[in-house]
Amino acid sequence: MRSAYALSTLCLLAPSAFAADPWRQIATHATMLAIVLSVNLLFFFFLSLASAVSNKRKRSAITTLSEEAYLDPLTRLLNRRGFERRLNRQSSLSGFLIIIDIDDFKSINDTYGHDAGDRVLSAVASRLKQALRPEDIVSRFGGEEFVVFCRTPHLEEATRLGQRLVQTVGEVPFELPAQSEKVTVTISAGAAELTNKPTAYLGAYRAADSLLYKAKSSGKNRLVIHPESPQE
Amino acid sequence: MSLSVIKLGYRVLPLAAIVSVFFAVLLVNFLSIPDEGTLTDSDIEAYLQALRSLDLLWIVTSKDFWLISFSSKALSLETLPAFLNSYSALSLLIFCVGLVIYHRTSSAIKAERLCGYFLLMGWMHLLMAKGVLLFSVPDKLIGPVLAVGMLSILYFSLAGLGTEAYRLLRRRR
Repeated sequence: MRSAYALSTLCLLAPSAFAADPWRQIATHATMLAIVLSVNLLFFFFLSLASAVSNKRKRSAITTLSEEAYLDPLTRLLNRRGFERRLNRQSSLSGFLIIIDIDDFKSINDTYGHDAGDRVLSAVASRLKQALRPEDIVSRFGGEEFVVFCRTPHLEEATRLGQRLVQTVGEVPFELPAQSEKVTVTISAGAAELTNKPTAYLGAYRAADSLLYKAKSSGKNRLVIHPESPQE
Repeated sequence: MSLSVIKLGYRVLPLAAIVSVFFAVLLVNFLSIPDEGTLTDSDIEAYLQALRSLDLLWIVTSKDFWLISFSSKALSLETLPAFLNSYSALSLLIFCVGLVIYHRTSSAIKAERLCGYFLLMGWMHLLMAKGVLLFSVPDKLIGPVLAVGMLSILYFSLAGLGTEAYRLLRRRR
C-alpha cells in the first residue's frame, strides 16, 4: 500500500502533487518555472557565446582581407591604394616623393620570361625595403614602378637616400631561375618635394614623374631630384 | 569533409526528432499508469528508485516498460491528460519568442539549424530534470519534474519536426 502511494505521487497524473498544502504547491510551481527559465537562459547564453566567437572570426577574416586589399600580392609592398591611405594618415607630409622605374624591364621579360621578371620585381622590392629607413614608405604602383615617400624636409638627405636606392639595386647582379649568368638590373628615379598643402601630393607626383623621364632620357641608372641636376 | 558531416547531420536530425517523439510518448505512457499491479517483472522499490534518479537505462531495459507502454490502457484516451503540461508549453513559447528576437536583433539563424536547436532544447530539459532529481527533492515534486523533462522532449521534438516539414514543403514548391 505504501508503495502504491509512492507510485501515485511519482506518476505524471498525480493530482496530489499540486493539491497538497499551499507551500508545496508554490514550491512545485517555482521548481518548474526555474527549470524552464534556466534551460532557456542557458541555451541563449551559449547561442550568444557561439555567435560572438563566430563574429570575432568573421571580423578577423574581414580585417585580413581588407589589409590584403592594400598590399601588392607579388612584392608584399603597399599598392597605390595602400600607399595613399598610409600617406593620408601621416601627421606631416613634409618630405620627398621618389618615383622609381626599373630600366629596360620589358627586355628582361622578353629575354628571360615573365617568371624571371616577377623574380626581379620581388628582388628589387626587397632591396628597396632594405635600403630605406623604417619611417619611409615604399610601395609598388604597378608594372615596374615603385613610389617611395621619404620623410625628411632636407634635400641633401633625400638625395643621399635616393642615390642609395639606385646604388643598392644596381651594384649586385640578380640571380634568375634556370639562368647561369647573373643579370644586372638598374633603376632610374625622379624625386620631388612634398609639402603639407592639400594639393601637394598630385603636384609632387607629376613633378617626380617628369623628373623620372628626365633621368631615363639622360642615361638611366640615376636619380634626378628637384631642383638639382641629374646625379649618377 | 566537415561539410558532408553537417549535411549528414541535417538528414539525421528529423530522424532523431521522430525517435525522440516516440521515446517521450512511450515514457509518458509508462509513467502515466500509476498502478502497482501493472508491474509484473520489476520490484516496486527498484522501479521507484529508477524514477527518483531518472535512470533511463534501467527504465528502458526493464520488461515492464515495453509491456506497460504498449498496453491497451496506455494507448487509450485515458492517458491523454498526461500529455498536457503547461510548463513545457511555456518553455516552448519562451524559446520561440527568444529565437525570433535573437534572429531579428542579434544574428540570423539558419533554417536548417532550427530542428537541431529544438531537439537540443528538449533534451536539455530532461538533463535539467535529472540534475534537479540528483538533489533529494520531495517525492511529490518528482512527478512534475519528470513531466517537464519528458513532455519538453515531446513538445520540442514536435516543433523541430514541424520546422523540418515546413522546410521540405518550401523546397518542393
